[in-house]
Amino acid sequence: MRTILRRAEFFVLTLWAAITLNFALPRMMPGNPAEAMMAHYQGKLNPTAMHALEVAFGIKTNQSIWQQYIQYLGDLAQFKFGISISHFPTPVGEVVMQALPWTLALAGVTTVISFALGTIVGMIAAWRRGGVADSLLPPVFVVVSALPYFWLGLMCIFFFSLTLHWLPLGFGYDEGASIQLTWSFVRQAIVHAILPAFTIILTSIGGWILTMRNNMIVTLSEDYVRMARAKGLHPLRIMIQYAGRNAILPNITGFAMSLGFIVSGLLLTEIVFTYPGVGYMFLQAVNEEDYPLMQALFLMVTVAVLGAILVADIVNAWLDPRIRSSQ
Amino acid sequence: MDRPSFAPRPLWTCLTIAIVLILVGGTQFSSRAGAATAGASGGTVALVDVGGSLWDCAFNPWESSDTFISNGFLYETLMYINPLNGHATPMLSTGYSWSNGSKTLTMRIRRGVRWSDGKPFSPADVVYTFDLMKSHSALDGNGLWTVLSGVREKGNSVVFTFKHPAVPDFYYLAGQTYIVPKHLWTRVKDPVKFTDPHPVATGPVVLSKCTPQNITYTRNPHYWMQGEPKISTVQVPAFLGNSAGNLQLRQGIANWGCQYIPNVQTYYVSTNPAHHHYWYPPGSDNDLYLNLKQYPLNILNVRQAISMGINRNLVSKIGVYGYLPPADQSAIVLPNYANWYDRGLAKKYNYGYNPTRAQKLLQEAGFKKGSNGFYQKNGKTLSLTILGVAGFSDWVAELAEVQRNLQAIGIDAKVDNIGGDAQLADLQTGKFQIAYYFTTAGPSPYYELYNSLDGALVHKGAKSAAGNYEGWQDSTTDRLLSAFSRTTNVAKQHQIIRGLQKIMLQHVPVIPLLEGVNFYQYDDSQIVGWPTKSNPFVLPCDSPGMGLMLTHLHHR
Repeated sequence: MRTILRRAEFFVLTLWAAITLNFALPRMMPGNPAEAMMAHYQGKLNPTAMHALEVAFGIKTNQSIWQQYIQYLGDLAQFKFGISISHFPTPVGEVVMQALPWTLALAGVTTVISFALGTIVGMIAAWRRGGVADSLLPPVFVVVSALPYFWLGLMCIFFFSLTLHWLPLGFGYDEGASIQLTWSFVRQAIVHAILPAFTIILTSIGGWILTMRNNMIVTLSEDYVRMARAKGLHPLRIMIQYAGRNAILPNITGFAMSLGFIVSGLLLTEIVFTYPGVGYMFLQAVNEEDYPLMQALFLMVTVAVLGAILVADIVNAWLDPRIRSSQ
Repeated sequence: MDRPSFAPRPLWTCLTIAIVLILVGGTQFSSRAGAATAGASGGTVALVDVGGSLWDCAFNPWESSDTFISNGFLYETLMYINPLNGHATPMLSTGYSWSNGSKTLTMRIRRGVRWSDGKPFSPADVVYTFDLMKSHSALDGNGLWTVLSGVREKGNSVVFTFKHPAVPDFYYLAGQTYIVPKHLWTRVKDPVKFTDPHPVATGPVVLSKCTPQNITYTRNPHYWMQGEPKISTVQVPAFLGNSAGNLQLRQGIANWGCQYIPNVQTYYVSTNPAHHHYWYPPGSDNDLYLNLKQYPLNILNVRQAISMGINRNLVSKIGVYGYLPPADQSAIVLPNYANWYDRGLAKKYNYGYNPTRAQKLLQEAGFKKGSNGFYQKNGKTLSLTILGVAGFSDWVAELAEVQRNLQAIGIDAKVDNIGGDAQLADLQTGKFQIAYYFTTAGPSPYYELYNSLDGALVHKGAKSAAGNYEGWQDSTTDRLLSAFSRTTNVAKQHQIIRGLQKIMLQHVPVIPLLEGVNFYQYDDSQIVGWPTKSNPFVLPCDSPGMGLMLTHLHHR
């Protein structure tokens, strides 16, 4: 219990630090949102529009930085993020919600699949060290994950969409479709997600395979595995319950962190497949100095990652008696 | 970690690479397969204009992001004024007249127009729109109420009165102000923050469906132009990056592009030479702004040497495949405004590429070549830093070539590429030596000349510059510019523009480098009636011309 309490304290402190940085960093960047908007328009806006933009965005406020900070904390506590500047006048909540479900679905599913598959493959590879699976799969996936994602994505589009016509060119659903919870729309969404998901799994699975395989090799040489063998237990049981369960421990935290980072989006996937999501929104918010949108997105990532780590700590304490007893 | 069990790795690595390469090679030849079957049918126009974000489905015509999804397609202006030639097409107004020494403008309002909800459109809507901009300065992006003093209804007309003669503001008033329906907008609490998700307007199409990924418009059956538009649907997908959008154009899935396509001839035209076309009409110049308040750019010879020492053709070829034509030192965009251009004057001053003469100009100003190969005076090397934008890869390449050119004539030139907004901030507060930036377009050369030369726009104390970034202060220039704003006499206007060209050539306050263009591609395999170089009835990728353009398109 003490462990968990201490972790929770740490969580609150880190959260405060992150929130404060989140407030300070955008304001230390050069330029302001009105200038960013003018720059975005590449000279197509009349220079007099600068004044109108400053009025609309409320840039020239008379509030001191402290007043702004207090107001910022107050707004955050009520989940009030204000109006997005790059999508003016749409509220930040609406802007984020049009992309977040897509990101959560695609990134969530692919992260889980890639972790699960990677763990199983790594376990088997280590179990049969030097076997076919061990000499084939880890090297192949390590090479694939080192390929530039852009290139891999475009190749998949050329091959599966343009040549074979199996899968759509991009987007999250058919052009002109309206978003609704019907079977035909869900089917469309799944078909459109296959290629992005495939490329993400292909490039991320290598890391899980390699770490799991290496952890597994270490645990396999432990005395308790030798004892299990001596007892004549079924090999599958030794592999999964004796070696696998111990080898996966260090990976739990990594997995939790990548679950947390899901909400930061999949920038490259979104660009290559024109897939809706928060990754590109993140980049755009930073480029256009959209403070309200940036703050909401950063906060989301911070809370998600910190929360995931907290959960991982609790799970680790539960899985591993040594952590509990060391307190 | 190198265990014997890993020995086969290099072999597998090679095999994997080989397999991937075979796949890649194979796809190169078959990528054309589906192009013939995909394409527009049933009078659909599919537009690719990469905005780099999902649609937020906000159609407020004053909204500062993504204006084209609303302006022109849905909301209309009183007139369409073609930036390419200044030609005015009557839209919600049927005609206009100036009186009272160019201080009163009377615009006749079109009868029989209906809003898309069926309610009649009237002059009261026009007056209401302008009143909104008066009470909300955030909506008045073109600063019309700095010159306007009143707007009122008079029968079937609307009368605008000005504080002082303001003929050039007609472009912003009639050509860039989108009229909104009074009966609906009076119910809007804050028009600045209104997202307008269900727009009611007068334009050729109406909003049918909007998702973050795609906007569908259908033809407006009650459009005031008889029998128009003929096309039934307009699709505008949201693209995050150029490559996905360009691919749709190449495949013929989209038939209208407003896209920068590297090597457009090979990538786009050659996939279907009979039907894939592009036309890149020039808009306004991209200029090198020279800080006139600082040494050494306060020396005329240095400015002249720079203008003459740059090989603009090469800059264009290296930076943007030659798509942006080289600009003229007189700041007249050619061929758009050829009838305003004083050929004799330009020939007399002759700012064509001439590195020998450029060096002579430097020597005449007392510069001597030092041992490092650069000119110097009083022991100080002639060195200059050009401020560019890191995000614009074409600009980075262009400025690198400018740098090489200047070094070749003995100027120690450097380039500093920074963020777009930071560059603009430095530009507006005079913190630069040379900066590469846009000029403002309009339907005659006046707009660019005004924005780059008018003395009232300069940076002064806490007031940041709204143009004239170089800080050009000259009473003759200001007199000419203000004379232009007072006259509707065409001959007089031409005479004034000639005077301003002379100032550009004689004093070189700014250096026009390349003519900015509007990227525009079209596919006429299904839909025809596109604007072309020989029939430039609208500027094709610009609001509000994109709306008028729809009324010319039809199925083959």
